[in-house]
Amino acid sequence: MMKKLLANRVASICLLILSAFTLAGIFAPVIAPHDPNLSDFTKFFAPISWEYPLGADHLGRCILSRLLFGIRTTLFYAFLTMLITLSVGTVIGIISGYIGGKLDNVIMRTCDMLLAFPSEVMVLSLIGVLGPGITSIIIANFIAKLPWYVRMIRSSVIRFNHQNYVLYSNTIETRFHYKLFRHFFPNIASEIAILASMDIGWIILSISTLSFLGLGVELPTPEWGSMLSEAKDVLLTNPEQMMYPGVTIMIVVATCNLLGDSVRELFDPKAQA
Amino acid sequence: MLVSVQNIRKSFAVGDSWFKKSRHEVLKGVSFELFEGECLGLLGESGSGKSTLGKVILGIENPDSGEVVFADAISDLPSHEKMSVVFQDYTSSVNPRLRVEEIISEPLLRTQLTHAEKKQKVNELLVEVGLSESMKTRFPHQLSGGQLQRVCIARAIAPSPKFILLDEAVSSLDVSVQAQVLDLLANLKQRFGLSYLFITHDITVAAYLCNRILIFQDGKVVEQVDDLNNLAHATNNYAKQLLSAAHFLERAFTEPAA
Ligand SMILES: Nc1ncnc2c1ncn2[C@@H]1O[C@H](COP(=O)(O)OP(=O)(O)OP(=O)(O)O)[C@@H](O)[C@H]1O
Ligand SMILES: [Mg+2]
Repeated sequence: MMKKLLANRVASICLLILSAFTLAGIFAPVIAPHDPNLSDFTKFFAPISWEYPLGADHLGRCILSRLLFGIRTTLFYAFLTMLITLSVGTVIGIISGYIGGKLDNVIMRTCDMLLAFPSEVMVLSLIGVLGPGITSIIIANFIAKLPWYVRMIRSSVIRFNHQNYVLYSNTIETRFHYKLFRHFFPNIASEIAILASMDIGWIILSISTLSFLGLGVELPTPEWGSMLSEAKDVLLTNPEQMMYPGVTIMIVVATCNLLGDSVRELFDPKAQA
Repeated sequence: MLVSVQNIRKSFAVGDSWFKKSRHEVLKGVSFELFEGECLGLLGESGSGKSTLGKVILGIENPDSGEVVFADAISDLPSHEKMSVVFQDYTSSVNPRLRVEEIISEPLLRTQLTHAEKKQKVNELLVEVGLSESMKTRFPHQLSGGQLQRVCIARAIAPSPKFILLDEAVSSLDVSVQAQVLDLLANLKQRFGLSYLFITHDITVAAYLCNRILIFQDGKVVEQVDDLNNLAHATNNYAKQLLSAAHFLERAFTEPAA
């Protein structure tokens, strides 16, 4: 699977960009020129220089350092949300599809109910209930995205249960974990990869948007959305302040979406002639 | 008696409508017995419910009423030693992401064999079904249909089950491969004392391999032919039709065109 991804030019470039961002986030304390929250009153709106590669903001903080540390909040919380949603969704989806019957009905009707609200409305109202903060954002995104994953995994399980090789396994009563790990997971791994890579951009945007609205991380934690929000206040005097976080968000989200598209093209069973 | 099928009924709900729930009865009281060491043919037209009956016998579909009774000698065996199956559609019968070796050793997982013994067994089985040992590292898409069907047969006989259900096991193969696979099945049956339930819609194939034939129509066994020499004297209408179709084909091939 990895081999196939790397053979595709778009996909490998996207992966390269994303891993560069991830590494930059991990090593932010090492490579950032300044403490992201250190404000220097002599450096208000400092222009680009060796000391401040992207200049400084309205409090005299190094923009590059804030962007680098912002990776840790935006990107890493997005990955974390993805991971939680994916694993819980997989477990519930497998239970629903495999056991079936009444339980399946209950789970599916709950999903239908949750899916009846647009995701954005759902996230906003959940944060309204839970109060602002990064934990609420993760929980809200988790609840908004979970039904999609449950449905997808469940339908794969059901489709898979009608495959002859599974009927064979059922006939000779092969152990469940063999069916799960040798038959099932390898066959849905690509579907999961497609869904995950398509959604990660959405989650990044969601975290940034909510922080932009002041519902996300607490100030002064560096986060791209809240950087945008702060820059917005000085839009008329220093418009370039909005550019840096804006462009960063754009690059990352576009990369994620491109990756999602190429993953889908590569692993769509219909394209797999 | 090895397997006794007693008055099996099975219906499926048709239409998902909330208001009108109707059921379509596919099996309408099927009874027969399968004896040890024999090949029993189940001959019937498409859609008559043969595969459904097969699934009920394998225990992967529950009948509405009736039961499938296994002889005492085998009823307590673990299911992989009791029975096995070869499906008609060989492409979905194997997991496309596993290698031939893994496919064939799936039924050996629950046996006591060591890892080396399993490998040895897979090699033997491949030779047994007329494939070469070098094929064990291939993936299903790297095999032809006939080869893949042999892999399925190898997997089916691997744990030495007493009874194998062959659901149109040769129907999707071309005639020359069909003959090879039928010979292979006849040979294996002789050597290991297997019993087959051979589901097919092809009367010539059934006549070639089977000791007895049940003619199945519309969810019921309509005729039982114990002596294949009497096949020509079948009384049932449907059986006659099948026979005349077979004769017609035979004549078309054997008599030179004028
Ligand atoms: N899960 C199901 N739900 C509803 N109807 C079903 C189901 N499985 C089978 N049927 C119906 O039962 C009937 C018998 O199907 P079955 O597959 O047993 O036929 P068959 O005799 O094996 O035919 P063929 O020779 O074409 O394989 C068909 O009319 C089919 O539509
Ligand atoms: Mg069938």
